[in-house]
Amino acid sequence: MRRIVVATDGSPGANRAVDAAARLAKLAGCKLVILTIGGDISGAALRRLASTGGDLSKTLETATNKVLNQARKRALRAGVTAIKLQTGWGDPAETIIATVRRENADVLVVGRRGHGRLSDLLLGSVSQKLASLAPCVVMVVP
Amino acid sequence: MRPFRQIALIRNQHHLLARFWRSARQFWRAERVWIIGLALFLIVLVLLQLLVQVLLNLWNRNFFDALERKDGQALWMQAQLFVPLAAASVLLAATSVWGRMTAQRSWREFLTRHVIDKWLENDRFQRLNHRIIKGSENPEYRIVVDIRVATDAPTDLTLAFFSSIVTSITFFGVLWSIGGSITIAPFGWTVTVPGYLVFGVIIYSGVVSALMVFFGHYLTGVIERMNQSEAEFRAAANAFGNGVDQAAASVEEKRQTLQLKLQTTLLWWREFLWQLVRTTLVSHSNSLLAPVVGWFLCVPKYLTGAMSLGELTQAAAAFVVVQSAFNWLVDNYQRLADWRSSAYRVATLLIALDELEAKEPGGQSQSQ
Repeated sequence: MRRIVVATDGSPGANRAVDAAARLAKLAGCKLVILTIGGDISGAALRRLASTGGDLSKTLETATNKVLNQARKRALRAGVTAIKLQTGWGDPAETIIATVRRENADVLVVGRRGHGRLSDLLLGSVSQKLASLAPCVVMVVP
Repeated sequence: MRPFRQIALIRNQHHLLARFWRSARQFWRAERVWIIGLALFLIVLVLLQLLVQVLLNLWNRNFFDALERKDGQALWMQAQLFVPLAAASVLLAATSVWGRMTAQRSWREFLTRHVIDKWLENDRFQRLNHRIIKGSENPEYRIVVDIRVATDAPTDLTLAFFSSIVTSITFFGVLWSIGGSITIAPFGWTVTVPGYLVFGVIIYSGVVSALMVFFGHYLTGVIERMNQSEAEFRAAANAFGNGVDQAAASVEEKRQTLQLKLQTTLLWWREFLWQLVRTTLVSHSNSLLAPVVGWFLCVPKYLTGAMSLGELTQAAAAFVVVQSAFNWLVDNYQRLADWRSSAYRVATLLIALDELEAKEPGGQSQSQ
């Protein structure tokens, strides 16, 4: 095994997935690619930015960096040293699969449930989509 | 922190608008005789259109009065009268389009030539590095598109504003004379309201405008930001396409940058969508309610015989005309926002060119 991709949105479920992926990477001695999907911002936050002249790109980058750094700390605590941080934009399932392909990953680790509970109920969860579409082993952490 | 940030933002916007006007107003000086003539012609057209509108409003009254009396001869006369009125209205509308677009085309031509000259002079286009002078990305688009939008909208908006004012004043007179006074007795007190239709339309329009401002007060800001993010996305794509941005060498970095720009554009679009949904709730309700409110305000006088059917239809139509004129700001929210964002982008380009000019030997500090 050479490379593990773990997707996170900073939620408790995603944190458990990061911990599991980090343990696995440590045991296998492989590289851990931590991926987050950016772009989720509330309407209220957008309106605030519109009235204050704030920079949306920076806000999005700050938010994704925060999630990635939090995940990196967890991975470092687990003893993983080879870590790559990645940000994706757009549809989560499609972006995660594209990253898995690009990174030529052996295992994809995801949490069972992230922040988007309502969309999960309406559209089917991202983890279910990944389990059926990903071109590698998928580990869904409860 | 927020109030200070907002003050800084407003100051910056005023600075940008001032810079835009410094170049844009040169057109009015350079082409003084021609442009004053054209402006007067457009004002006369607005007044003539108002005259036809008043005559059509009167025609409405006479037609329905004849209908109420079942007077075939009067109806035939009204039908004959309608033809020249309609023809005049159509002719004036077409002439107005010619006048407005001629003014817009001339202004655009002048400002575009001015900016192109400034851009090409002393090879400034080659020295215009947006990494050094922030906010000057994609000058070609600003010259071609933003100048068009920035010179189109002021002509239309100013004429529409003038038309709204003279229409409101004129039809206030119509509403005052036809509606007359009404006597109501709230809580046992007898009150006579003179020109009650005028007060009715002011209160109704005030409520609609307040609702519109409440539901859509973020709209202009969101449109400006959306336009800006579209421009930044376009600039990023152009930079990669033209090989300008060689610093971001890897394909992955390029993909990340473009996807981030796309994401910000899509997010602003999403917020624009919700702002439009909110304002449409008010504007569409108003388009349905305004004529009905006009009718309902007149019905009490019609039922007592103090108002004829013709006067009822005339007053209801005048109510809608005044209400529409009052909606100038609300109707032009989007246009104003589009204009502001384009004017800001033209201004940032001009400021960048000013900075380059100031660094040249013999450069001026106050460029035009």
